[in-house]
Amino acid sequence: MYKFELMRKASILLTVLLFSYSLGYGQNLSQKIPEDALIVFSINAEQVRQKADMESLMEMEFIQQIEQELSKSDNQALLSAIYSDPQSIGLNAEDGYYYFMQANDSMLYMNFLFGISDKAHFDNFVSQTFLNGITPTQEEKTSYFSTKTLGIRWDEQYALFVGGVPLKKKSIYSQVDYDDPEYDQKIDALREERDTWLSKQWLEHLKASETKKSLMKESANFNNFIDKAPDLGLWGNWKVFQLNLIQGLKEVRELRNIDQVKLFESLNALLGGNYLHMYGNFENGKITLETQQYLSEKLAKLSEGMYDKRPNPEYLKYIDKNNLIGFYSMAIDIEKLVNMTWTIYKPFLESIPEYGPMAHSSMEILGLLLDEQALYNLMKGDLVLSISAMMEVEREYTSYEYDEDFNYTEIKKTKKEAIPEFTALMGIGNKENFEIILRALLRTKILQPTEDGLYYEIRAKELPIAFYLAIQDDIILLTNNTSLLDKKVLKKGLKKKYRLEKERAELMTENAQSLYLDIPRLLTNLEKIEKANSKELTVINKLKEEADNMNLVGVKVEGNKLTSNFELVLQNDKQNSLKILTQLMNFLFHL
Amino acid sequence: MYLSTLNSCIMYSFISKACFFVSILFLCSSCFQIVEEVNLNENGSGVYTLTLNLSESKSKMKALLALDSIDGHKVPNERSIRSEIQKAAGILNQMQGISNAKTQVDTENYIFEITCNFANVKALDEGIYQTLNSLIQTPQKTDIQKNHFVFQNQRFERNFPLNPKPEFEKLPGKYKDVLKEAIFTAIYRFPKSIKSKSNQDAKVSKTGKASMLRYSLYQIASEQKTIQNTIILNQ
Repeated sequence: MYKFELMRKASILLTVLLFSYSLGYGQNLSQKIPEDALIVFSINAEQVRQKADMESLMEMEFIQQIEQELSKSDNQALLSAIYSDPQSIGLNAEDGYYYFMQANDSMLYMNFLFGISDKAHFDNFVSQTFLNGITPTQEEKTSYFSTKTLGIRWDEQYALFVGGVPLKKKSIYSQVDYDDPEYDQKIDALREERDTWLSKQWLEHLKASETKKSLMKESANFNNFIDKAPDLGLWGNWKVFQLNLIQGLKEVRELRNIDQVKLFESLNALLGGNYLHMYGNFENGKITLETQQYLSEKLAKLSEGMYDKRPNPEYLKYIDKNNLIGFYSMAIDIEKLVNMTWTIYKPFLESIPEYGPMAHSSMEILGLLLDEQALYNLMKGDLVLSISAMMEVEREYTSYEYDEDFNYTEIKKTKKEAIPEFTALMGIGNKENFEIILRALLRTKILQPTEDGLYYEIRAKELPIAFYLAIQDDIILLTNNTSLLDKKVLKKGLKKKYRLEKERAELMTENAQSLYLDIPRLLTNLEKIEKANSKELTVINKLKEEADNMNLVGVKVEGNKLTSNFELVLQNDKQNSLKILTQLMNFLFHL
Repeated sequence: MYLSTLNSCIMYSFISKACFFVSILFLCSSCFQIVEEVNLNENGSGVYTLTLNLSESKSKMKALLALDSIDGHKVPNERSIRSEIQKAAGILNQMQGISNAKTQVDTENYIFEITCNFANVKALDEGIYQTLNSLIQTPQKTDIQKNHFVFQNQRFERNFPLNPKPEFEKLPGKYKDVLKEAIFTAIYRFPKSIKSKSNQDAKVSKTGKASMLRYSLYQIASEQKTIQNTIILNQ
């Protein structure tokens, strides 16, 4: 049920966003996004509306469901108008809408920006929906109004709605003793105080936004993003992570007294100028998502050459295409990765009061004692993980049997559990050093050699089935698939007819990172686990009809830009993927 | 969390896609049983046993106990689970009218049992109240009340002086689903035969001296069903 609830909510949000009458790329309105916006979402709604085939979409029953859901929302009138008829409330649909986030030490602000076409209509809408007879504050030609949940500023040109979440949240209930005879009155007073404070915050934020510089003027990177006009877009800068960091630091008691100024100075020097772009497009037969990471000069230098490696093509010998559900592969320069990670983490250690300098020095001394090169070269840095089936294993458990007088005795029952059949492949770098590790694992009996000495068994009572480790031609093969442990297969690999076809083989071995998932095959395996006639089974069958595969190709490096491309490929390549998606949503709503 | 967030700034695509791939491996459900047993003697004394059997979900338990936290909630380790159960037995043993409180912990099959003798049902009820009061440190502590068990004039009452629905409603759907698979069984044995019972779902044994009630925890927590039962014994 939870999965359906999630899907239902996601569908509503997505639909409202997608089919709002916006272009999302109105240059004039985008000038109003302030320079301190951390994340900006954009929707090329006109393009999206064409792809979705709005006429048939509007006839779908789930749209009615969305209307019903909207009616439960506090801001029902606004959401409903955005969705159904923005012009009726005076919004300028052609200028588009933007959603962006800002933050300071105490608040996270979420903003909606709209163009205004008819101020009188909008005045009327705000008055009827929010004001309840209250006159908004007027400053020259701009009107302001706020409640505990949101603030609005509007003039002839545009409207900005703001809401958000306090970051330094202290529960009002923790401030009054439960046994206090005046508990209810005190809680009410605190609630009123909090509501007044929030209302004031929204107003102050709206007024401060007027004086801020435009993000478009200040950031060439943002301009680059806004020019692309994908169906769906997301732009973010590294300060989002800074915000997340501040919250994280508060949660760890030992780090609350960290020198944040020093920490962020160091991190800013390293990460300032990092941006994330995401471009999502609905094409015929597939949904694509391109992710671009723009690294700062320092970070780009540190990561130079990190993604030049590729997985060993010899791994293909051990991947059986016939039952393959999916694989993930990667190849990375471990030394560069460790150096870059240490450079990023070093400021944290330095900023921790008391223990920080000690820990930092300890790490440096450790660096002297350890043969870092030996560690970096222990493994080649490439990995392939593949799943070829979901195996059913029987598990014993204890239950009870009751006699006529309800005396019970323990009985052993069995149930079937699904375990993935997997194969992991990694390349050994320095053979001599790897032998040292291997001997240690044998001495501690974590690994047990088989009688024929071909491979090792990994024994642990927690594991439902045995795992095996084999080493062949400097390749480590870790698997629970015994068919790969045959002497001939280990030495020469699977017969050619079982190996991956060219397209998949290239995907795996010619990229620094790749992912492939055969969706119908995965669903066929999941089908075995789900109970017959369950809702899940119906969903599985429907998805099997529609989806084909999921794949990811990365990481393409161009200067300081890292690009990855993800695709969700559908069975029907004649129809636009968005139309198929909306039909799928309608199907789910009927369940 | 903050460290992983920062790392994802750099390793975003690598990590997120790898996690996605691995997450499809863990598609399983949870089942467990709670069995409450009261054996009452002629003189009002008896034996109380509470068993939590997670054996059916032991593979998932092993995986869960290896984690530090789930959804922001700290996951206890085996040692702390054992310690808490022993602490409960310790509290019970200090109570007047309670004796021989002991625990059985089977970490291989994840079966936890606590049992004690009681001199009378009032002592048992007081023992349960004091134990819950000592062990529970959350705001829900104020909800703990007495009168779980009452026995007077051949009238045995199993009450449920809690109001779980508000907390249940706050639970995410995935946790609610887990409760559907969890079974609570209450078995009460008496020295005399049962004359009547208030809970129509309770079964009476062939000898007429024992009753059994079984509900899913979902039914109890959502207040679709109640374990409340008044059993009148023949004189």
